[in-house]
Amino acid sequence: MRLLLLEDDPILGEGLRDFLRADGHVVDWCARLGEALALRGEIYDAYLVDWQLPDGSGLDWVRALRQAGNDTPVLVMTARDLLSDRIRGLDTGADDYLVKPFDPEELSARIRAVRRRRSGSASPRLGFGDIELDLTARCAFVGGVRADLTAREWALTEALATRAGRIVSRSDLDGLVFGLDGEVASNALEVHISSIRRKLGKSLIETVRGLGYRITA
Amino acid sequence: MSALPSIRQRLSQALVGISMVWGVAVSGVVWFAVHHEVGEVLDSTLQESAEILFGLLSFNAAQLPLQGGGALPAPLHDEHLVWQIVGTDQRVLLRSHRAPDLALVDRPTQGFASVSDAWRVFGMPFDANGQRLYVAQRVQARDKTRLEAAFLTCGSALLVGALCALWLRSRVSKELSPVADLSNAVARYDPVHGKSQLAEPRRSELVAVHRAITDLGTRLARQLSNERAFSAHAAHALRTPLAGMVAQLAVAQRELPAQAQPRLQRLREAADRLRRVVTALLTLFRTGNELSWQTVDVNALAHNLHFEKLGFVSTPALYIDADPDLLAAALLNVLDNALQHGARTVVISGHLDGDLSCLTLHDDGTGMPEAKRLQIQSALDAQCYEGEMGLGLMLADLVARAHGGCLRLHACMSGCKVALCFAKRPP
Repeated sequence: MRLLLLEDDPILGEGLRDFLRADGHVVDWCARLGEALALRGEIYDAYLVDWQLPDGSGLDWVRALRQAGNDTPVLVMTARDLLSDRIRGLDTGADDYLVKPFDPEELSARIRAVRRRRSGSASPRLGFGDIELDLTARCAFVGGVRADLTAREWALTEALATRAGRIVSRSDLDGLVFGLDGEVASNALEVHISSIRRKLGKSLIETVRGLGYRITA
Repeated sequence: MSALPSIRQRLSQALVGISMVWGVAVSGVVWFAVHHEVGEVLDSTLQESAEILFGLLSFNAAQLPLQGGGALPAPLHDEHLVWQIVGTDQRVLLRSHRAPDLALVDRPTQGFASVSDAWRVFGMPFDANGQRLYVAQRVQARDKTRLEAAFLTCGSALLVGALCALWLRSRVSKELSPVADLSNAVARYDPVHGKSQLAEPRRSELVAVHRAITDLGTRLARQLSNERAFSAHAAHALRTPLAGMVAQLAVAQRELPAQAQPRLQRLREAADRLRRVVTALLTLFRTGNELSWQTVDVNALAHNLHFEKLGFVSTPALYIDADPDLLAAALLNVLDNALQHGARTVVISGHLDGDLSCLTLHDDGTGMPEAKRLQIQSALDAQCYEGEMGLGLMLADLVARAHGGCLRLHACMSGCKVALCFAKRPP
């Protein structure tokens, strides 16, 4: 999953970024609202937002997102633990609310839960013919046999599978798989898709010429 | 509070009592004065009547039929005053027609005399030969006159007294109404939420009270606001670095080799404990604030506190009315205590104790000696926390007290049995 982490504390921000990356997520970390606003055109699977940021309120940013029609899952992480704060956070448009300090494992689980709720499926497994993807274990099975995917390949497969039926443009896929940090070769995406097709079968990912790629539900 | 006596009622009763006593006393004095004065007036009237009669009779003394002892001819009429001319031998020579045939007095009398409680007589010489003129009035008539005068005067005094009592009572009510208004306004005054302002006093005597209460309210609101701001800042300042520490440790656990894992695990446990202490400290600031009452699922709450090393055995569908944040903080501390004392299982149950809803947590840890338990319970009852117990029990007790209840340490054969008792949720 591609996540936007909005957290001003450098120790926490770096810790969460590294932890979530180790979990296989693509994480873009912003310490200020201004940086997040500059990423307006990017596609994310979820936003992890701190309430109190140096240049504004994370909650205001969430409100603006929702008003703009962006329904990407939002998880608010904050030191504010009052019931009234939690209600306010959720009512503003957050999908979940986590009070600091929390275990990164819990954050990871909540991200998965939020994602499942948004996809409308209670099960962490997605099936496409004889191919099954376990989003929690982050592994793929072909005819019940586990296929070894690299982290990038998994990120690419997951990005398309969780948007099954929709065409995902190449540039969006670049962002979802490589984020903002990576030095990406121009044909990296094609190389990964080719590798996935070898491991999971040619029919799973469909190329829609001139538009992008799609996994058919 | 309603059983307390009312100032207005007490003052009114006192005024009515004083008015009645005053009225009776005044009536007694008036009675005496009127009785005495009316007697003097009647005596003066008797004397002046005698002198006038003397003048009239002596003017025509030669024509008076003084031999027969009868009355002067006159139409039948009632007489309030009677008169007699009595000879030297005490024989009645002439009289008014209602006067008795016998002399009013049995010996010559000069001036006033009372005869057998029947007549009040004034006597004076009528001629130089020793004849005397007596003018008299019945004592009964005089008493009746005095009685009527006294009754009317006393009645009037009592009536005025009663009217005064009613008027005073009405004044007392009216004068005390600003006090009652201020009392009601203070009861509604909520400086913390800034929803209300204390109405201005209507009497100068209440200005100081009003000012004192307003100042106190303002100071309280400011202090609470400062505490909340401090609490919010402290929460941010403490929780965020702690979260960073936990996150960095989690990353380190993944990245560092196996031999470093036990040490990292201990660090994470220490960070967990630090997190609970921080939560407890921050909760302390809120125990005096308004509660957000909710019906809390105790089992769900206990499991959400993430005590992985503790097993819970609890009554199914265990609910309690409480502020969920404060209850969580109290449970966090009680369970942390259990963990620190080697507990592996905690039995959670609920029961009613009079008006209190109690949540009992019985762990299988090392517990404490009975003497120590009694000592801590005594300190909890007296709210003398310092030096007697740790932060956990203190916080749990403060949370229970914020809910109108208390913390109880029950005697048990093994482990420690703590009951968080909360009052009923206010309607």
